[in-house]
Amino acid sequence: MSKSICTTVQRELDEMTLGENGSVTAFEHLAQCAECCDFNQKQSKLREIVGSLGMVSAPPDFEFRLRSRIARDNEVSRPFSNLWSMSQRSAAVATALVLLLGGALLVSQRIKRDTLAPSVAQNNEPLNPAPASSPKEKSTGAALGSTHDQHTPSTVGTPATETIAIKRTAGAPRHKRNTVAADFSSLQAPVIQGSETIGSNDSVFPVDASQQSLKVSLLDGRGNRRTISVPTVSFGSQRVVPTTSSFAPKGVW
Amino acid sequence: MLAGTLNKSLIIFVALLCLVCSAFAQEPQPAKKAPRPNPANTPREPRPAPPVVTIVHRLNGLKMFRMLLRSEEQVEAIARLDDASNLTDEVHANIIAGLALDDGQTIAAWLPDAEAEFGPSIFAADPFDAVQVQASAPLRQQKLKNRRFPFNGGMFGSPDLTVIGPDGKRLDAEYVGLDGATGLSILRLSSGNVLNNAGMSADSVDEGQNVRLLNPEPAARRRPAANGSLYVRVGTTFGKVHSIKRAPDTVGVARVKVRSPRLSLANIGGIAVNDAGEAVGIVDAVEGTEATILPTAMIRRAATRVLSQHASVPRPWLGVKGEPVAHLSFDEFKNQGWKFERAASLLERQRGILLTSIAPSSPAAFALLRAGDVILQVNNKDVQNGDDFSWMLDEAGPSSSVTFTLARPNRTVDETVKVQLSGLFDPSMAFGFSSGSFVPPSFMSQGIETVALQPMVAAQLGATSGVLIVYVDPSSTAFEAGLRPGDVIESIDGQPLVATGSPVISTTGKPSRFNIVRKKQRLVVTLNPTDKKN
Repeated sequence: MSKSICTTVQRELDEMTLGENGSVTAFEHLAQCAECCDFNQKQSKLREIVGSLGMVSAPPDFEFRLRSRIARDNEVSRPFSNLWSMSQRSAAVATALVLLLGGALLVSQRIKRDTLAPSVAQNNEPLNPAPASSPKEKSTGAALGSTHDQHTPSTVGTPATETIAIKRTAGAPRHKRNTVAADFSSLQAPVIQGSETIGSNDSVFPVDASQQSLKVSLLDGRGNRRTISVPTVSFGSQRVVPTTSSFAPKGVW
Repeated sequence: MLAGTLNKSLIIFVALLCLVCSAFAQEPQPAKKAPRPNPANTPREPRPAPPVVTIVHRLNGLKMFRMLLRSEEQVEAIARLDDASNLTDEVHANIIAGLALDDGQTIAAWLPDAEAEFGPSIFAADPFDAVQVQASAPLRQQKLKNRRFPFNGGMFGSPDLTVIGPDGKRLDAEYVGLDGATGLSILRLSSGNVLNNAGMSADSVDEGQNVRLLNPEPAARRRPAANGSLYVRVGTTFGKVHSIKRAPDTVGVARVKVRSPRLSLANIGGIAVNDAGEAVGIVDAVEGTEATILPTAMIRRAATRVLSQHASVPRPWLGVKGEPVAHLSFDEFKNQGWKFERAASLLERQRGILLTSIAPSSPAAFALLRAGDVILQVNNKDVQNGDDFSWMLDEAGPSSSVTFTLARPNRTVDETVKVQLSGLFDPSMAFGFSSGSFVPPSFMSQGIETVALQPMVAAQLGATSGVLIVYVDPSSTAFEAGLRPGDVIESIDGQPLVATGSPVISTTGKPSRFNIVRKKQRLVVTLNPTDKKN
């Protein structure tokens, strides 16, 4: 008996579930091959054992007991919990004060910086290579320019870019934390909603859709009547009526 | 005691925090803090306009009837029609994206209603021969080889197509033909309308790369205009290249799979572009959250095929149905007459296509291929699965000769068989025209496609009864005699046509007299049965 046949039959037997019947060919083979017959018996027995196992369920008060156990364990692990609760209030007040103080300092710094902003913004302007994009997009493009060079090849090594680099070094003090490249490959792909527009293809144009819709009643071969209303406009490749023809049918050449 | 220590340490901690905050505040800040890049903004960086146009394909009532006749609907007769309906008026517009190719003049698009522009003969294997011509096998094979499908102007000249450029400008375009292998329609802009942004196609595609799928869609913020205009914009769905499928030969990338959480059937036909605005391909299928992209290299090849012939090009047709061996079980082989050992050896190798059915009068039938044969190789290249087989046939092209290596149930050694391929747009039609319509075969043989009318509808069109012509093959004698789409045939040689009856057209050499109604005017058209053209 060919070993390849045994391998194929055993693979089929292995993939069978409890109560499932194998192919006729496999059964014919089993009648002739002792090794495969033995294998089949073992597999059947194994499936029956697994199938006979009952459902394991938690006792009805399991959740209550678990929660009380967790609570008890927490009590034991905190000897200074009373002391901590006393000092907790004062710590919270102190933290709130610190946050307020820090926030006030940051706001005052921002107000000071805004007085210098126009001249600096002017320096940044040539970084955006696209002709038609919103200011928001420009700032995004500038921010990503250093990390996504493959996307903006026209800006790399151009005189404009070099000039900007020199101006930055000489004029504004360079921030110690440079732009950090981020890997977004693990994130879900973003989707622009229907009401949003995209940077370069945001032109809206009218299309004449004043045609009259077609409404027709058809008789089928069995004396039934069916009314079909064809929409005046469709988008994309959705066919208005499902047709039997197909340009790439599966399994037909 | 302990509480006192804790309070002291808390005061020290607060003091330290204050120091850190003040130091941070004194540190010079960047001129303008760069916004944190977020995935929603990442693809919105400035980029050139991609080579995408919008195509509006309009269909009139007669073309829509043609679609209905070829649909899954069972159509015996038209029972009712709106009083205001004029069958030659536009009733439907399909709006879809098109890709401008390198020359700035050629446009490729996946028009879903393209078949409305063609007669039924383009989809049937050989309808004229099936009814009338009793030719010998070599002659029929030669006829199959020489079949050509020039676009013959549809019913009323060219298809009603409007091409709108990326800037919203209307461009004149000519419909060149349909590529059967890809289902793409190829259009050509007039010489004065060359797109400047065309030819931007991506040289390579990488897994994990971001892509945008561009499709026309209604502009949500605009109200429809008073004159019935609809505002349209090009919308975007973002996705990521999930996998790249390479063709078995030198074709390179055959398909690109893109994943996105928001895909729908409306994305089919959309143009996929990368972040640089370069075209990656056209979406040709959507399944769940996965879209299949036909890459630009394949689109260029399709355009070259159609432009070189200036006609529609069918896909290579062999005339077989089959299943990849890798998907089969012993029993399926046994049903085709295979011995156990040989079937096991084929199943072990997991390659080839098991033929399950052969279409009559097809190239496969002429080459004496039989159900049960397994095609192992095409031109000495292994066939792993159905996709491989399709690509290999597409590469060979229609009217070409290919050599198959076959394993046969009753032979112990593999055989080689040479097959002369033919061309067909929908190979499934060769296994029986599955339309639910009742088009009489004698009309089909004359290149006429009709639909029966109930008396009330016939009266609306100015006739007492009869059948409505929805298509006349421009190369047929019926067209030459003067029959046109939109005509109602009331009677032939004095015999009125009833709704479901099959008319009798003279085949004995005598001319047939057609009493027709055209725009509510009665006319007589004489049709000679000589059918040299067909």
